[in-house]
Amino acid sequence: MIDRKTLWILWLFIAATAAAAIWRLSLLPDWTQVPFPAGRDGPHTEHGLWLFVTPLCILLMLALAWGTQRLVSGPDAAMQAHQRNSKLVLLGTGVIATLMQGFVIGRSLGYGNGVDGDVLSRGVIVLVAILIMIQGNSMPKLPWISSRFPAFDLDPWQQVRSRRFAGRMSIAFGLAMIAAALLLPVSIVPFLVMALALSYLGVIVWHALKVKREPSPAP
Amino acid sequence: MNLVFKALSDPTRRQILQLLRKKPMNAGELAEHFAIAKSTLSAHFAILREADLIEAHKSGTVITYMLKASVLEDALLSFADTVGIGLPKPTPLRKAKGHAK
Repeated sequence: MIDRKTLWILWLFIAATAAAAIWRLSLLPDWTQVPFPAGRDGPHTEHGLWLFVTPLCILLMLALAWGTQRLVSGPDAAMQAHQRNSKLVLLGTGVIATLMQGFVIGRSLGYGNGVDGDVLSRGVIVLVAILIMIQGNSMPKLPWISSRFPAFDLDPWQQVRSRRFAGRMSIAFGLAMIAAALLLPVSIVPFLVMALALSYLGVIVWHALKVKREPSPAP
Repeated sequence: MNLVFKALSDPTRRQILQLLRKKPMNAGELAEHFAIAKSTLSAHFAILREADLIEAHKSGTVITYMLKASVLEDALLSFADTVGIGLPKPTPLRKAKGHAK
C-alpha cells in the first residue's frame, strides 16, 4: 500500500541511486571493474552491476507496495490508514538504502575507509528490523478492506485475526533479525534474513488461508 | 498511551478485552458475563473506545464490539492480567483467620 507522495519520493530515490551508479561507472576505464581501495579483505574490485542492486531493491519494494494496493479495495479512509501504516517502512527503507548507496560509492572513491563496514551493515539490519516491528505493532489496528483474490477476501473478524497474527509475526521476525544481526557473522546474516523473510511471508499467507476456511462468528 | 494504561488498569475492562479476543460480541452478550449495571458497563466501553482498544459497529439497534489492540497493547493486557493490576489485595492469612473466629 502506497500513497502518491511516497510513490514519487521512492521514484526519486531510485533515480538518485541509479544516477549515482551510472556516474561512478562513467569515471572508470572498465565499467565492469569497480575498485574499492579498502575493505574487510583489503583492496579489491567488484563488478559494476553491483551498484545497481540498491535502485533495483527500492524498485522491487515500490512494485510490491503498488501491486498490493491494486489487489485490495475499500473505503478511502481505510485505504489511507493502510497507506499511512506502510509509509514509515517504505520511506525509512528508501532513505537507508539511498544512504548505503552513497556510502558504497564514496568508499569506491576512497572516502569513509575508517568506517567499519560490518558494524554499519549490522546497524542497518537493526534499523530495518525496528521499522518492521513498528509497522507490525499497529497492524491489528488497521481497518477492514476487501481483497480482489477470493482466497484472501476475509470478512472483518477473519481479517482482525489474520492481522493480529501478522502483527505478532512481524515482531517475532524483527526480533529474529536483530538477534541475527548482533550475534551472527555478517557474511551469513543476509541469507538468514532472506530465509526468515520468506518463512515470515509464508506463515502469514498460510494463516490467512487457514482463517478463511474457519467459520466466522456472526457479528 | 496514558489512555491505554488507564483502560488496562481496571480488571473489568481487561475481562471485556479478553472476551473480545475470542470473538466479536454485542453489548448484551458481554453484559451476561458481568454482574454490574449496564450503565457502568457502557462507561467501561466508552473508556475502551477512547483508548482505541475496541471498535463498535452499529447495525440497527445492536452495537457489536470488536478488539482493536496493537501487538504491544495486547502484550500489556496479558501482562496486566498476569500481574493482576487493579485487583483487590488478598487479605493476609492471620487477619483472615481472625475474621473466621
